[in-house]
Amino acid sequence: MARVLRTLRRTAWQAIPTVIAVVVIDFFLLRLAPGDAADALAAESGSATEETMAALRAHFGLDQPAFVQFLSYIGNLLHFSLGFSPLYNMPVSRLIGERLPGTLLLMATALSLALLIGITAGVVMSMFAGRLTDRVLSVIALLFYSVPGFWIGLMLIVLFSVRLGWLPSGGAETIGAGLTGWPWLLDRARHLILPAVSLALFFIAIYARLVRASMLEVRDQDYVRTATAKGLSRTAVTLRHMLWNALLPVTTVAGMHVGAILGGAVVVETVFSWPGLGRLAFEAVLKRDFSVLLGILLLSSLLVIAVNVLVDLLQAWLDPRIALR
Amino acid sequence: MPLEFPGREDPLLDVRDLFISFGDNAAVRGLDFTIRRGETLALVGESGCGKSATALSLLRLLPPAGRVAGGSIRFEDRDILRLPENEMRRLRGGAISMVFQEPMTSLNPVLPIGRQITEAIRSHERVSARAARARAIELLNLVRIPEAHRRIDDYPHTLSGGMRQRVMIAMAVACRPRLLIADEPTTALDVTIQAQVLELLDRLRQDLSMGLLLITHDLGLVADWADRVVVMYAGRKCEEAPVETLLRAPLHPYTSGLMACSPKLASGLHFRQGRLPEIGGSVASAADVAGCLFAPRCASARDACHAVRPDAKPAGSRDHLLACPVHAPADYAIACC
Repeated sequence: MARVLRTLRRTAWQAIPTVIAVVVIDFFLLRLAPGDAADALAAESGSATEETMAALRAHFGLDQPAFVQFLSYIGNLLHFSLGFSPLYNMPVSRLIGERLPGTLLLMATALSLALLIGITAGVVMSMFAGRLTDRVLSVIALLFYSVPGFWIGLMLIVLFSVRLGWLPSGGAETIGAGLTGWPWLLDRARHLILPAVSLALFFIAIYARLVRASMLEVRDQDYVRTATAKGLSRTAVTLRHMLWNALLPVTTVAGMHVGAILGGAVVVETVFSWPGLGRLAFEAVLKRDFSVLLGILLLSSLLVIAVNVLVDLLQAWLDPRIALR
Repeated sequence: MPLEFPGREDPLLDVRDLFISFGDNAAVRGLDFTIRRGETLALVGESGCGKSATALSLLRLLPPAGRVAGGSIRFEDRDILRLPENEMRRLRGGAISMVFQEPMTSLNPVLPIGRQITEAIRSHERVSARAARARAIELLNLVRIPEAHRRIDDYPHTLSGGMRQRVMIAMAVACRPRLLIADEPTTALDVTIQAQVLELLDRLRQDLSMGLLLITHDLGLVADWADRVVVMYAGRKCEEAPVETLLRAPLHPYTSGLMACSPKLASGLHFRQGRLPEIGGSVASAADVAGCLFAPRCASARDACHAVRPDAKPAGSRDHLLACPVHAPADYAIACC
């Protein structure tokens, strides 16, 4: 336990330069995009004079030189404030706080689905390697891997919402239904299925192929032969001795995927009008609301760092040879 | 009239005319041997002669590329090659178990050693987790792991090679097997540890009255620990005899060659006094030979050796078998009829 705490402390220290770099690079990178929030506001209102735009810019500090804006942003960060959104007219932290749970729920569900189904499929494929089951699953995995998420999302809506009418086509819950307790939970779950599945499919394919390859590699290890020679059943050998060892590369990759899943969430949340960070980020890009975008980028980099710490701990638990340092 | 072979009376394990092939390559070509209860049989030969393939075939653990192409393997009253898979599974680690060559890689790195022993016990006997753990500690004590009760939760990477091989042995004898196959159990270990491990195997053989199949290329080990020896070359038996007979008076030129190569057995020889002798050529030369497989490397081969493949027959005494007409004693021709 002391080792775990030491690891956490070390990682926290190492995260500081990473976060600073993320903030600096993102801040100046975003300046490269043409236009600012005042332009977007003006475009939205349909009519704006030079004077009102200048007043807007002065009000939000957009008329300052980039470096001054940067200093004031850093000043905000040091006070644990993410700034203020001109477009939504509220503090960025509150805006993000409202959207974060939805995205975390979507990501966690998608990742769990991807791991569960992907690992199962990978194990099945490796057990039937080269035979029909393996071939069929390989083709399906390749399909999931190569079809873009937004198209899968749209097709899922067409099939399950429009044609069959089984599941809702968007949103996070039935608006105005006023449900509580179990019916509410069920309603949320029904809304979650389609976006989570369309986000997960790509990762299911990756994990399935990874686990298959990893299992086939582990299969020829001496200790697997030992396990068989002990008289263990094929299931025990496969799950206890092979899968446990084959999971290590999966945890590494899954940790790196958290960032990618957040990226995928942008598309999926837009398709399913899911109220989450991804869609907020998308709107912030379109409307040049850089303070919101910076806040989201900062938060997601923290999220990725945190998940990687978790992966380190998980790997040390999976493989005792990996020492926590 | 069938020939009288030693140990054919109620043997523990009876292997006859075994053929094993990997794709188109024959690894074992018509091997016969038996093991009696409580006896140590050494299977000797150089790398690639089919020793390990033979060992693996006894548990039906050949890798997917390999298969038994002919012959029979009888263990007690069971036909190993025709046993259904679930009965075979019960046999593995139960009545027959195996210790492998590589202790460094033969234990699962992510499971504590105790867990690896208890799962062997619990896959064969209905015992509680607590009882299995107690027995695992007993077993670790039996193989002389110091502080077994503390060591039982250690992972393999914290143990030395010798310790790991002890754990492998503890695991192998967990269910009191009647036959233990040890495939080069000490090859990967330090010389100082070798003797300890073999002593342990021999003590367990006596205590549990197991048959022990000791597979090795080290004639020095054979001299110290085996009761009988089968010398293999290119998947065939060239000579079989009680260990004293074989070491005192080897008949087959391959056996004599092997013994000449062993610094321990060739008395007075030391590398400083001269080069160790070697057997010229390689086992690969036996690939497509019509006659005696050793003939391409044999100094005393005659024309007939390249034409006719000799079988192992009694030479001199009933328990000394030889597959070489050239180096046979006078009564060989009579006995072989």
